[in-house]
Parts: sequence; structure tokens; C-alpha cells
Amino acid sequence: MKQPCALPRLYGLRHAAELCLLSAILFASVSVARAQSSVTVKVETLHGRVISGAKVSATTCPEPPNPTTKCFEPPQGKKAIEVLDVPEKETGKYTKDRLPRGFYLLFACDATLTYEPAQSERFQLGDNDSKKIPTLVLGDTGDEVPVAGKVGAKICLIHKVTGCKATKEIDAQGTISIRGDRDHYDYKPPEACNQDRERGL
Amino acid sequence: MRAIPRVQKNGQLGTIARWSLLVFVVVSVPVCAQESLLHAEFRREGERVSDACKTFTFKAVPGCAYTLFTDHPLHIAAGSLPPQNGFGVGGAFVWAKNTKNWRLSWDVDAVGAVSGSWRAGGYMKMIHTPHPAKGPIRVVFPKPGETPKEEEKPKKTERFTHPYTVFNLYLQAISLNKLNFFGLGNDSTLAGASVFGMTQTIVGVNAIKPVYEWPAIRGLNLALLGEMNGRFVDIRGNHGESAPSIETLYTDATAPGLTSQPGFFQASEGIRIKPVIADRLQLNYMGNFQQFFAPSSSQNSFLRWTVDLNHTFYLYGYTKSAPKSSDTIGPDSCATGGSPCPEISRSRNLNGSIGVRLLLSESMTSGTSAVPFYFQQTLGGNDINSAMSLGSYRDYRFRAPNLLLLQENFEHSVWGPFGVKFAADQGKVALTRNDVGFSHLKHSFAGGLTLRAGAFPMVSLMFAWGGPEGHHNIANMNSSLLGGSARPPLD
Repeated sequence: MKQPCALPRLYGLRHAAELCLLSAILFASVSVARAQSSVTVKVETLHGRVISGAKVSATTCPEPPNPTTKCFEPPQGKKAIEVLDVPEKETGKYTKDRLPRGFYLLFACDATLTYEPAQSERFQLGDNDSKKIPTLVLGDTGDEVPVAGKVGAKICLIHKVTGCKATKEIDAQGTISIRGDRDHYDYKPPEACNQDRERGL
Repeated sequence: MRAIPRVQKNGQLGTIARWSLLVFVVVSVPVCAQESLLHAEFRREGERVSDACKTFTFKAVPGCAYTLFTDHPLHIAAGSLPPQNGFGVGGAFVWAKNTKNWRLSWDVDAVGAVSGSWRAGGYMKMIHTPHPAKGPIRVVFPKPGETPKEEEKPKKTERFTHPYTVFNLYLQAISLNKLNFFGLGNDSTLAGASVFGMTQTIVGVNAIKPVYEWPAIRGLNLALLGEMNGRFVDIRGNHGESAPSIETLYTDATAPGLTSQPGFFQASEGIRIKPVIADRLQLNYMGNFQQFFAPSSSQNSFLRWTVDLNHTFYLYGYTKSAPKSSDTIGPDSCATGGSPCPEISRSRNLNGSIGVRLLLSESMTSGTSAVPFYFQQTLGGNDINSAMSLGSYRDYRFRAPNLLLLQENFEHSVWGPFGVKFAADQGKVALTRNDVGFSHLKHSFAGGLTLRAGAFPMVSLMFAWGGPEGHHNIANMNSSLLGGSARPPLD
């Protein structure tokens, strides 16, 4: 019978088993290490103010060659888009390690949606790739949106693409202040902001 | 006695220290708080360039070059100047600002060639993006103990790409040291070859107003075109070439407008339709009527109408492979609102088209007036706007007030951004409108390579043959950035 590992004849069964296991672990860790990449991005406002404490996330994108495919569609064989949090390593600088190879998009927004959320261009990570993505710039142009509701009532503002949420209060003029296009947001009761983070794609 | 200078010295040191502190504070304030928008954009561009070009490896060269040539607000500007004037390299500055109802962008650039020719211009684009008044946002607040109801879905509206009115304001000056002149008409000969130099300054405004209000004709992609330009031309001799300078062979009678060039006010009105049939065939029909008035010399005033009928059959579908409209993007930009340029396509998607074009242009004058030779359109090689027609002939070979051109072309991708192109042209120019017709057309064939970027043919290397005057190699690089709109025509 053919042995799966030819070492028993040389070292005995126990030693051989240990060696086989060690090799397997070594091989697996090398493979895993090879496939691990990192991405770093800075987040700031249009006027160059560094944003600390932003919510930065990464999503995987389907692989080209079809460039028209949107990154928001779940990859083949998966039901949902994988959203990975990118933690802040230094002030305003966000790094995600151990990302498998593939195509990604990064999103960023500030915790109170005082600025318009930003999205990166699609980028590719290879094996053992360490990539610095051009700074994500949060916009600051916006509008006052009239909301039907009582003055002082709270509503949950949800950015459709990034899924970022913030509670806003209807002011004396019956409006709330938003950044960017009003159609880029969902407007929900305040309880929605307390629920788990969801991506409104 | 020594104490005073010491005090002075201390005073100087103190002054220097105070100034240094002040400078430090002034410089560091933007770092601590906010920068100006322009300062922040320049810094971010510096970071992007530094990231793209930090390593001197063969692999990093394309990415570094792409960043240097396409990033914003500053980037390298490059492109062919009109034929015989070489390849221009310089710098471009782009800026964009969006307001509630307008998308504004500015492009400023200047390029020069080793031939001494140059072009400099400022181009402003205003895109009217009115937002219809919307009602207040309605948020459903559930009562205690009630589960939130599903939101009412908005009524389904007919989807179509909403076109916007575009206004362009521009000021452009171009100095060309070598332009060919072979005499006027279809029967001019190579023996009549001469050269001249020209400087032209154009200041003007044009507008493209899409007509989409009536759903019944929305499919036509109808647009009204309007233009008002001031054109100031200065013609000069060129004595440094193998061919003689224009004034040694020609006079005002044989080259109208040679001795003096008045300032022109030029207006134009036009109409354009661009329907797409069955996602394969795109028609691009344009008709316009131009009026050239020379207030100081009525002998040079003239009228011109042009009909340009372009038919393009996209082999792999219009949606998939047609270049997107460049009307809304400035000549030094490749995306709206200062967004980054599209990434270089490395896909192996097939891309190809077959095109057929008919161009007819006629000029009208009154009494003894004549169309200035420098505003007469040309056939042969590339024309002054770098468009190829009858490629096997020399550049600007046939010049006259009236023109007829038929073009057939086939373009197909080969690998990545590279493609091949074949073209056949038939055309003639005519001194009088009666001579315009389909008889005695000159013909030419051309074949070569194209380099596409962002679905736009950016570089073409063509070998043209077929006419009785031998063959002609034509290399051309689009003077607008990937997908950027064209500059104002020079004729």
C-alpha cells in the first residue's frame, strides 16, 4: 500500500506523523502568509482636516474583466457582500491587515455624518501586497432638507452606499442638515440608528 | 560703545526670532487646522505622485506616467499640435466646483513644441444641473408598541440619461510656424507648395442645449448648438523651410486675405441628433450655419453651412463599447467634478466599429468678397484640427471654400489598449458651389495602429496610400485628455 507520507520507513511512525503534521502546518502558514496583504488609507476633509475616529470599511469586488459590474453585487456563490472594518492605527490613518488577494473598494464616513461619505476607486491587492490608497476625502457641501415632523424630533440618517448612520434633530425651520445629495440617504425613525450596522445597498 | 551694537544685534536676533516665530505660526496654522482648498488639493496630489513614482522600477513606470499625465489639479499636458508643427508638451491646471444648480470646471493649459509652435488656453465649462423642487422627507414614526411599516416605494418613473445644457467659455491662442499652402482648388499642384505661419486667438462661448422635454423625440438625442467667437488671425511668412514662403508665390488674388487679416466676429447655429438604433447603430447627424463677419473689412465676410452625417455600427454593442459623450468634460480632464481618470483598461474585451461618414460644406459670399484662405477647410493628410482626410496626400493639400468628403472606416481592438484601423476616403474641394459633386473624387486608403485609453483612440500611427502623389505616414496624438472635449476649431 502506498504511504501518504514516505517517512515512516526512515523515522518510525510517531516521528513521521509529527514531521508530516509540522510540514503541513508550515506549508499552511506559508500559504496563509503569502495570501495576506494590507491596505492603508488616510481620511480627511476637503480642506485637509484629518478625521480621526472615522468609520472605514472595505468590501470585495467582483474580478474584472467586466468593468461595468458594480462592486455592490455579491460575488458569485455568496449571498451578501463582505464588509470588513478598517481600524485606525494612527490619527487619521486606517490600516487593514490580512486581506486576501482580490479587488476591493474602501468607504469612509465620520461618526456624525457631518461630512459627505467618501468611496475609493476599485483597487487590486495581490499576494503579500502592501498598498497605500489615495486619501479618502469627505465632502463638505450639503443642503438643508425639509423633513415632515415635529421640531426637535430625532431621525436616523443612513447613507445608502456606506451604510453609515447618524441621528439628526429637526431644527426650528423644520429641516435637517445633510452633506451631499439628499437622495443618497435613507431617513428612518431614530431606533434604526441603534440597530446593528447594516449596509443599505 | 560696544554695547550698542550688541543691543542692536540682540535686537536683530530678537526681530529674526519674532519673524521666525510668526512665519512658523503662519505656516503651521494650516497644518493644525484647515488648509485652503487649493493647498489641500496640491498636497494630496503631491502625495499621490510621490506614492506612484517613489520606486524606480520598470513595473512602476506606467503607473507613475499615468499619474503625472492625468492627476489633478496639475498634470503634464501633451498632444499633437496641428500637422507640421510637432508634438506639444507643457502643463495643465484643472479645477472644478459644484453648486446646487451648476457644475463648473476650469482647464488652463499651455504646450510648446521644439518647432517653436505653441498653444495656450483657458477653458471654462458650465453645466446647468437644475434640481426639480422636492417635497419634504417623510419619516414614519411608529406609535409605541407598533412595528414600523414598510416604506412606500416611490413611483416608478421612466428612466433615461438626463442630458444637461452645457456652456463653454474659452480664450485660446495658438501660434503655428509651419502650415502648407498649395494654392486653392482641387487642381492645385505640388509645384505650388509654399509655407506660412499663423497665430490665431479665439475668444468665445458656445452652448449645447439638449431637447429632451418631449418624450416622443427623446430617442433622437436632439440638441441645439450655438456659438459666438471673436477670431483674430495674424499670417506671417516662413523663410526657413525647403518650400518658399507663401508671399513669394501668392498674392491677395490667389490667396485671399494674405496681406491683411481683420478681426472676425463669428456666430454659428446648429442642430444635432444622435439616435442609437438597436444598441448597435449610432447616427450622429449635425448641421450648422456659420456667419463670419469682419467689421473692418466687409470684403472678407462670408457665410458657411456644413452637414456632417456620421454612421457608426458598433460590432459588440453601443452600450458596451461606445465612447461616452465628452461634451461635459473639459479638454484637460477625463472625468467630471475633478474625479480621477478611469483606470487603464487591461481587459481583453473585444471592441470594434464600422463607420461611414458624409461631410459637405459650402461657403457663400456676396459681391466681391472672398473667403480668406486661412479659414478655408482642407483635405489631405491631417487638417488644421488634426482630423485625417485623404491621408495619402500631404497635409493641408487641397484647400477651397467648398468641400465634399466621404469616409469609411473599420476599427477593432487587438490586445489590451491596442487596436487596428483601416480607412478609405473619397473627397474633393471646389472653388465654386456648382463644382461640388460626386464626380472626380480623389481617393486614399489608410491602415495602422491605434492606442486606446478609456475607450477613446488617443494615439494613431497610420500608413496612407492610394493617391497619385505617393504615400504618407501620419502619427497623431489626441490633444484632449482621455475623453475630454475638443478645443475650438481653427477654421
